This record gives sequence, structure tokens and C-alpha cells, in this order.
Amino acid sequence: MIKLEQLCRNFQVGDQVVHALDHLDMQIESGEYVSIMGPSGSGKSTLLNALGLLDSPTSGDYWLDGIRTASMDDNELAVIRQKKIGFVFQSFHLVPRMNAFENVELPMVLAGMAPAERQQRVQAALGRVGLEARRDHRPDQLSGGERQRVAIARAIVIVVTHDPAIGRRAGRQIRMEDGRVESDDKLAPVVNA
Amino acid sequence: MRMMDCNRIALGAVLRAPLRTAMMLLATAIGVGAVLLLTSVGESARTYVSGQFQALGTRQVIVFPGKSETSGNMPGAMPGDVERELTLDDARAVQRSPYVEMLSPIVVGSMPVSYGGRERDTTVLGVSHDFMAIRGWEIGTGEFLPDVDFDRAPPVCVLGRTVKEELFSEQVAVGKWLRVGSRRCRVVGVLLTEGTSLMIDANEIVIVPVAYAQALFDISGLFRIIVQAPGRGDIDATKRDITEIIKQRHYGKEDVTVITQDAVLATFDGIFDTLTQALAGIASISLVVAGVLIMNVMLVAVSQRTREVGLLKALGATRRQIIALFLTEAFFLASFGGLAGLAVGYIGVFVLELTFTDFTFTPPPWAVAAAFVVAIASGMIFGIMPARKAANLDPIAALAGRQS
Repeated sequence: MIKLEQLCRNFQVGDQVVHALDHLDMQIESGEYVSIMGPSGSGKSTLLNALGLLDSPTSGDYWLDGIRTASMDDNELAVIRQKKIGFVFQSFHLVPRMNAFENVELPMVLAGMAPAERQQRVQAALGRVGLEARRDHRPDQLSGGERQRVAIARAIVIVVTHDPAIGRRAGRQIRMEDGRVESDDKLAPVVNA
Repeated sequence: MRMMDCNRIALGAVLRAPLRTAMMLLATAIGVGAVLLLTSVGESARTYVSGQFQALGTRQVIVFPGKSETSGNMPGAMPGDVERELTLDDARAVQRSPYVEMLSPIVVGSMPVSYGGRERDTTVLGVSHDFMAIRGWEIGTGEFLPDVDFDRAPPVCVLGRTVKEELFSEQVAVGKWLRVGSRRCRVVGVLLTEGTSLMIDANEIVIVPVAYAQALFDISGLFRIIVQAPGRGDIDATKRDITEIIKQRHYGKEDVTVITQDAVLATFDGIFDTLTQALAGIASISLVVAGVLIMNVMLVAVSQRTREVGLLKALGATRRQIIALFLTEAFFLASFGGLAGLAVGYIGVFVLELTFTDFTFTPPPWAVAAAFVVAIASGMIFGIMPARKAANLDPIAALAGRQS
């Protein structure tokens, strides 16, 4: 569960202060499928960075699963990212010298998980994205789509449990404008996510 | 993160950049190799010099007239300095000591010697029969001086090789009568031994019985007495006993100096130890240079892998983990470099051995260990800065490929 309260993120650009997130309030329930839209400069990336705990807000509060993250230091945030957050980056950010298996395994390696369990989870994650056959291929030996699927497998390997409800619940579309929520609409349930 | 995973990831980074790894290996290898080679050379010089002293015999004790502490000069160098000279009677008394296996009194001087029409100035050495055994010299033809009492002066002599060649050319020398100063003596042998020891050139001498030499130079004193102790462990006792015997004979005056080869040897040992250490120190500079190179290459690695560091941070790597990864990488680079350096060093030593067959080159174990440890330590120490730099990167900027 994600809960934002009066979240602000300001950037100093020359003499000007840019309010990338302007007193944002938001609540997202566990299992929700949310898309965030808006024109460029509306604060989407800043919001995602803040939600991903890669960036600390200027002011306001952010609760993730009931944990208040605003007062945490870098290392504590790193540990929370390790356990609760999976990223699929726009450019995938796979480690070029590691094969698909090792790339997917990386978050669990950092978390210090036992090799046997890692093995099992990587197999499962690669299976879900249909890449079992490509496990020994390095990123430069994979197509763009396959690379994206490796990145997705790496994002879900720790976070996602086999909850059948995920992705079938009602979707939600948040529109942003100038660091604020412009609209927040429930969508019809997503079939075949 | 598990130790094994950390090693595996760091090793992967090392192996997947072969050119970079090869360059760093080369730098560290040169440093370690240089330490091994230079210390081998220093050690070889030391072994060579101690070998020379060993050849002189480490059981030997030399007695000088005069007390070295009371005079700035070399004892016995100036006859006026000596209060009481060493005599043949002193030598005979010393020979009775249980701590003396054998000894030879020594008298040295310079005299013209001639045979036929040829004449030259030569060092004349007056010694006893045991001198040859003490020095370990060898006779080429004929025999050495006869084993007679110190007092007796049979007119016989033994020639050094150069002296023999210059006076007799190809002729047989043994049995011929040689003129030495105002006297004549019969040649009984020619030395095989060559080279210089104790400042006496074995080629350039005529050896005569000690009493004969005293008569020749018209002196009653001795230049030195060379003594051989029964065993290496007896040397201190020998030294003490000789001092005591002479003291008693000289009315309670301790007016001789007794030195051992060991004392001289120890001095040289000290000098060459210092030399070897200095060489090691100089060579260590190249290890530090290698460390700086490791730092530079690691800094480049951090910039090249900025996105990777950003990714690791996003995936939940703590500062500590990032530092561990980069330090492990530096460790692998430095230790592979160190191993390569040991190989380079030992190959170099082998080449030296083949080139200079007279010397043995062995890098001292402490130098081998120190070179390896310093190589790794310098790699790790210089790896800290780049590792910290990586750990301090901001994840968002790093993911975008920016360093700040």
C-alpha cells in the first residue's frame, strides 16, 4: 500500500525553484494497477523516482506498506528497495557482462538470498516472461523485446507473489499536470495484462 | 550479499575487460618483479662476499700486536706504537692453548729476489708449515715449507705463480737456488692458489720460514699470528684464551688485539642487508606507482559503469555493498598482478643465473612476501577512493549516466 501526504519535491534551477511535485496526496492499494499520464514536465518521472525511493522528497510524507520512509537514510532506503520495489527501466539497464539468468538473479544476490532459492525463483520469473531458453544469453545476444522481458523478470522476481488477482483488478489512470493530480479515474478491469 | 557472490561479480568484471586487466597486471607485475630482481642482486652480492670470507675460513682468529682502542691507527702498522711486540715465544705459548688447533706466525716484508740475470722486488712472507692448511692454499708443484720448530730457519722457499714465471719462465723452479736479499734459499714448491686474501696476493709472493724472514729483515717481532680454532663454536673461547695467555706473558698488559673473521663478516653482512633493503625500497616505489595506476583505472571503471552502479543502487545495493564490490575487484586485479609479478621476477632471476653463472641469485623470502603484500595493499588502498566515489553516486543521476 502506498500513501502520499502533501508530498513536495522542489528543484533549484538557477534562481528559480521548480515545484516538480506540489503537495501531492495519493493512496494506492495493494494489487492496484495504476498508470500515470501527463505531458512532459508534469512530474511523472519525479513521482516514480519518489515512489521507487530513489529520490527523497523535499517535504511531506510517504508511507510504503505502513513504513514511513521520509526520515530514512540512504542505506535504509536501499534495504526497502531490495525487498519491496522492482523497476523496469525505459532502457532496461541490464548488466551487459551478465547473462539473462544472472541479471534476473542480481536483486536476490544483493539481498543475500541462498543460491538454491535464487535458482528456483529465477527459473520461475524467466518462465513467466517466456525466456527459459534464453537464460544463458547476454543482453547483446537478445532482441530488444527479449531484453525488456529480462528486465520485467528481474523486477518481479522478488516482489510478485503468485496472486491471481494481480492485473485483473480494476485499473486506475492518474493524470498529472504541473506536479498535481489533474484527474484520477477508475478503469474497467484489465483482461490479459 | 554473500562473500561468494561478491567475488563472483567482481571476478566477472575483471575477466570481461581483458585489455584493462592486462594493463593493470603488467603494471603490478613490473613492480613486484623489480622488487624480486633487485633484492636478488643485493642478496647475491651479500652471498658472494660472505662466500669469499667463508673461503678464508671462519674458524680463524688473527692476533695483532698493540691494542686497537688506544690507537687510531691500524694496530701494528707503526712499529713505534707497539709497547711490546709479539714474538715467536708468544706464538709458541699460544699454540699450547687447548682452544688452538694450529697457528702460524706471520712476518711480512719486501725484498729484491733474483735468479740468473732476473731480479724483482717481491713481498716476502714468513710463515710456518701450518699456514697453508689454515689458509686452505694449495701447492702446484713440489711441497710447502717443512714442519719444523718456529725457531729453525732452513733456507727454503715457496713461490707464487707470477714470481715463478717471471724468474724462471718455463724452466723448472723446484730445486733451484734463489737469491733473496743477501741470502740464498732453495725453491721447494710453487703455489697453485691464485688471488688475493687478507691483502696478500698469492701470485706475487715468496714464502719462507718465519725465522728465516726475521733474520732476513733483521727483526725479532711478528706482524701477526693467525690461529685456527678447533671448531666454530670455540672461537670466543679461543679469543679469550689467547688474550689471557699474552696478557700473562706481557706482565699483565693487554697489549694485543684479537679479531675474528666473524666480526668482519658481520660488518659486511650488515652493509649488504642495508643495501638489499635500500634496493627493495627503491623497487617498492614502482609498486606504489602501480597502485596509483590501479586507482586511475578503477576511476575510469566507475565512470564507465556509472549506469551499472545506478542500477545496483536501484536494486537495493547499500553503500557498503558497492564499496565491497569495487574493492574486491581491485583486490583481484592487484593479486593477479602480484602473482604475475612473482612469475616475472623468478623468470628474471633465472635469466640472471644463466647470464652470470658465477653468482647465485635468490630473492630473499621476506622480499617476496613483502612485494606481494605491498602490491595487494597498494591496490586496495588506492581502490578505496574509486569505490567510495561509486558508492556516493546518486542513483537517479547514475541511471541516466551522469556522475552527479
